[in-house]
This record gives sequence, structure tokens and C-alpha cells, in this order.
Amino acid sequence: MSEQQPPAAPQNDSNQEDWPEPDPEELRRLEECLAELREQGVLVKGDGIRGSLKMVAYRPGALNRFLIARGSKPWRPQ
Amino acid sequence: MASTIVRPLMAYVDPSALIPSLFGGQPEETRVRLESFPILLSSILLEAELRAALENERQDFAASLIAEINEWITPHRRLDDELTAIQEIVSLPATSLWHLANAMYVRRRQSLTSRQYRLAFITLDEQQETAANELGFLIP
Repeated sequence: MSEQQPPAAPQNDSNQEDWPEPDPEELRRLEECLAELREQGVLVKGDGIRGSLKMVAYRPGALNRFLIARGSKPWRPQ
Repeated sequence: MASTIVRPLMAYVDPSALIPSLFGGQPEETRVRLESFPILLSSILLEAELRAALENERQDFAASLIAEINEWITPHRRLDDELTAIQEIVSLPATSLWHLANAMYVRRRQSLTSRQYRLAFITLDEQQETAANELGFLIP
């Protein structure tokens, strides 16, 4: 069986400022799991190049135009 | 005794979270959310949605605009279980529904659950974020 219910989310850890730096060994193990999923055909490897996403043009209101076009509600500041 | 904080390493990216990076404006803090995860995943639908958004804004697509994604999710079965679970909580437009179902699908894979890896969900679609939260995704 290759599918299970996910673990329950630990509480009080959604504050990113409290997060420790990623453990390189844990990250390596995660990469192995992702490679396994690629072998199963569940994932296709992307480039994973950070910083590659640059602004293409300043277009105020683009987010709300996108959301409305997909049938979602406009974004509201939290 | 304080519990150990387990840093989440992966986040699913809804295309709405990339729009401020492409076109500026609020909310700029979404960039910080994206950069805090070493692994970003999304459905292959993300590219189609970004291409359509760029076309609507009269801009050209470039492969570099989606190069931050580490892993693309390609389900090899119907996602009826996931779609049903989401629709029991909320009514979402088709693409919002599909992205959330893809995140649920990959989260269920045994190789991830066996090691307790958790998946965050980054979106600027308010209804989708509410549903993701109710479904147990970390909302950074």
C-alpha cells in the first residue's frame, strides 16, 4: 500500500520565526523520498532554482484579476 | 517541557502565491513564505494558469517563471477521494479544487507519511486557504 493518512499537525509551530534551520541530513532523506515518488510516477522533477522568478511587469490589481478569472473571491488584506 | 519544533520542509504552491512576484503589489510577504521552504511542489496545472494570467496581462511566458518549483505532481489515478473530502468542507472553483486535491494526494504517499514529513500550503485564495487549514495543512 502506498497511501496513508497524513500525520496530525503538531500545534503552535506555524510561526516561521520560530523555525530552526533545515537539518541537511533530514533534507537529504526527504530528497530520497521524493526520488522514490518520481520513480513511482507521482512526481516529475522541476528545476528548483530559487530566485529565478522575477517581476515581468508592474501590474497593480493583477492578483485580483487572476482570482476573479478562476472564479475565486478577490484577495483581502488580513 | 517544551515540545520540539519540527521544521516543515515542503510547501505546495498555488499559482495565486506567485502572482505578486510576477506583477508586484501586495502582499509582498508571500515571497518570504515561499523562500522559507527548501522544497516547493505544485500541480502541472500551475503552468497553464500562469500562462493564462500572463496572457491576460499581455506578457510573455518564460520557463524561468516556473523554475522555482522543485517537484511537479502528476497523479496516476482519479482524485475522487480527495475531491470529495474537499467538497464536504467547501465549494471551490475547479482549479482551486484541483490544486488542493493534488496536495492531498501527494501528502498521502506512504514514503512521506512514514517519516512524518508535513506539507504546507501557500495560497492567496482565501477560500482555498481556509479549506487547506481545515484539512490539516500547515498555513505559513
